[in-house]
Amino acid sequence: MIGKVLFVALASCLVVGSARAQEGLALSNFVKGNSAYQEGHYDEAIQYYEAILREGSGSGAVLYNLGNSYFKKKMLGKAVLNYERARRLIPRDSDLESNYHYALSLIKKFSDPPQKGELQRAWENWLDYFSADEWAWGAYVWLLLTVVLHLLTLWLKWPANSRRAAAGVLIAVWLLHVFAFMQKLSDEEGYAVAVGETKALFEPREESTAHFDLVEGGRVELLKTEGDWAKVRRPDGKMGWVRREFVEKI
Amino acid sequence: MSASLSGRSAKSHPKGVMLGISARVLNVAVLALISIIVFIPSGHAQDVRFEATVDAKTISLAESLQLTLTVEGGKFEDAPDLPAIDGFDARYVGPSTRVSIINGQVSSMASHVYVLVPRKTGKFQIPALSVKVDGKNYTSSPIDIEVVDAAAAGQQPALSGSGGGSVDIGDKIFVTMSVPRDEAYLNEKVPVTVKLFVSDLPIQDIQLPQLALDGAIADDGFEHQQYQQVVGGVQYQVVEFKTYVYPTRTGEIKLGPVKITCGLMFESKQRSAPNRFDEFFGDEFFNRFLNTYEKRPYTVQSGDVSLKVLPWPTEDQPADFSGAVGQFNFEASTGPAEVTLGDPVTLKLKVTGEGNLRNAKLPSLGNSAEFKTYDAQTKEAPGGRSSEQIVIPQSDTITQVPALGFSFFDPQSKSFKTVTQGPFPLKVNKPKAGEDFKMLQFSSAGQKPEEALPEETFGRDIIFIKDHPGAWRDLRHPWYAGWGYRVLILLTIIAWAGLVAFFEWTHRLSSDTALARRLLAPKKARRGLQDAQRLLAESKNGEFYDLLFKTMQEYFGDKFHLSAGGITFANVDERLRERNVPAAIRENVRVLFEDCDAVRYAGSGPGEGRMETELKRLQETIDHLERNVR
Repeated sequence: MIGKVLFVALASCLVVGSARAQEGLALSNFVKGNSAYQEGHYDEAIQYYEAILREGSGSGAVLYNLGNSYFKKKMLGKAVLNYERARRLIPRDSDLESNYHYALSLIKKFSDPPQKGELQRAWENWLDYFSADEWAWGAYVWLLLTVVLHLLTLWLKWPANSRRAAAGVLIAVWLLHVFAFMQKLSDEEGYAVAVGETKALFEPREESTAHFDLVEGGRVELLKTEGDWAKVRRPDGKMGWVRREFVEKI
Repeated sequence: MSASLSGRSAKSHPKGVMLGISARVLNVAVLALISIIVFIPSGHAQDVRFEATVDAKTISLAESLQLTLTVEGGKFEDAPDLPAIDGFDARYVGPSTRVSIINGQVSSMASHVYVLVPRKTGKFQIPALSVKVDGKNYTSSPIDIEVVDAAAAGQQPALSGSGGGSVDIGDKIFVTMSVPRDEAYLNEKVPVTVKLFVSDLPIQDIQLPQLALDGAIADDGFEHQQYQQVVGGVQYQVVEFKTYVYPTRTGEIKLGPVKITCGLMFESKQRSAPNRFDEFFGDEFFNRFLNTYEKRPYTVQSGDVSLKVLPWPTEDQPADFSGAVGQFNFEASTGPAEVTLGDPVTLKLKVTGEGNLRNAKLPSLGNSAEFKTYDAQTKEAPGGRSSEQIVIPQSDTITQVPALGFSFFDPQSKSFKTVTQGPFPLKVNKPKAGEDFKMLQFSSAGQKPEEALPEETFGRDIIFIKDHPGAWRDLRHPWYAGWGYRVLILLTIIAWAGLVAFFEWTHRLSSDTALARRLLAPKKARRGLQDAQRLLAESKNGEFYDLLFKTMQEYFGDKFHLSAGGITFANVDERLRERNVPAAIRENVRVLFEDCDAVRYAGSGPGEGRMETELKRLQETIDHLERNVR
């Protein structure tokens, strides 16, 4: 028994120690990347930032700086891709918003975005205002709040009807949070950014007819992949096949 | 809602004031929290309902009627204008709004109240009324009203000479409207006189006249004076209102009718049942003091007046004529007369006189190679209009500010006239050596010159990188995607359900005494049997049987929810039979009762071997009942 406890403790120490070492390495790469950026060595900066991401860790600032580095290299597709990724972690960062929209403004546009109703836009803005982390925490905190308030109504001996009504409302709001969280996850799953300029084809074959242009930095819905090909849908609803190296999942 | 909940909460904790207060406070806090959480982000939607109601459907001629237009679940866009209602004069009293929360439902009611004063007896109908709420039209149902004779209701207006019944007051109060001529030119200032004649009638609160106009506009407000005048042998108090109208189109236009609303005093007798004071002082005494005077709105209306509006002549119309009609003087001046190049010169203009300057533009200097000019600031001046314009000479060769003219149409001479002022001499000096020429810019008020700031033009680029990495995340495996998060939620829900079940169970036990006693019965019995076992070992016969009987009595009492006095063999046996308990068990019970009674009352007791049997018998009985009988 004592042996098992010691093993678990040792394993925990190793995990924590390993995580700290990884964090230290990531921090070192981050600082080196920043130095390279400041000296105008954007390729080098990209290498350092990418090294952090290859290890599986990262932060909104790393993705933002990587986006900036690509922007300076005039690789708008990669810049927008990393800004998009950063927005999922730090959605309310004003610097990020400014750079992201500036990068978007430089992208050629072949299609108008679809018209959305007021309600839909409000709902999407509300979803985008928080990161998936925050939505997950929000859903749990709401659940706790629902539990506490419902137990309070029991303890305070509210009439059954009032108690049921209060519980119903709280549960409904909690379910709304859960729904928002699920939709946020769903939205984050199926989108990609074009990292190069190409033509989307009707079929996943090189000799197929071109259907529409895919501009570098354009956001598309990633419908499915088959071998080296990916089926994408442009915001105007047009669907086509492109080689996978032209799109990267956000 | 919160008040009623607080009341219940306090009632449910009668033992402690502190508990009552804390519960009440907590109730309100929880309710408020839920309300804030739920209502603030989501808002609420309600069905909109509109209705028109009156406070009585039958009134006397001397009474008034209150008409209330109510919108529930929305807001009026404007106070509705009532259409003409046959048999009534209407007056708007004011708005009111009410918000209520009932069973958690928030509802708002907005009302507009009108007073309808009957003009004659008969049956009338308030027509269906329409209002606009949030862009949609809503219509009320028509309302039938009957106006009966004033005498029947015991009320009469406080008019001299009135003897009850309906009163024609048309010759006691009326209003007239007049203009001095039948023709006028477009935009000409035309005086309108409105006179309110009142004779031998108590009135108060005379409102300003409401003048209906078609093809003309009027000045805001009225000048008024009061005097006496005899008309047709009758002396009237006259309130005279004077204003001016300005025709806006040519042809025949209609001025009026004009309406004046005032408060008419009515005498209203007390209708309460006679009391001791009436009996003591008598009717006359109280009639003097208790008769009240009630003010009712009354609207009088004049006829309308036609006016023929002539166009301006087309010949000799000056190019700078901008619509000024009347007789005017035009004055102009500049200052200072000597400036350094780049310094401003102020051009002051003033037009005064009798007529209409509403649409007229005062002359101004335009931009030219000689002068840089700024927009003139025009304002109303006593008897006319004035303006100031800043101009800056652009060369030291300039010697004068050009002449300016003001053109208007004179309806008396039926011709256009132009008054010209200037040119104005000006000396422009060169700047002194070392002084640069400065271009000045003026604020929107045109009063204070400021140095012009150079325009900033920069490029656009991205914002610099971040120095701090911020919170590190596992990008491949976010924490919420693992099982931990789901298990945490599941455990919280299970804990919630458990706590709710625990609460329900304890609540049921506290409210269902029979259940609580039945559940506790075996536990208590087990304790009694253990004690009996001890007494058996100590050979304490009397105490053993006392305890055995007590244990048995308490067990059956708790099991079948019987009072202590009701526990006899007959009662217990009846309940055992009802529950189909086998005869052998019932026999055990009978023997136990008999043996216990024999020892307790007769003092004769069986031996130790029998005591052990009795103990086992009771144990078996209880075990059987716990296993088979609920």
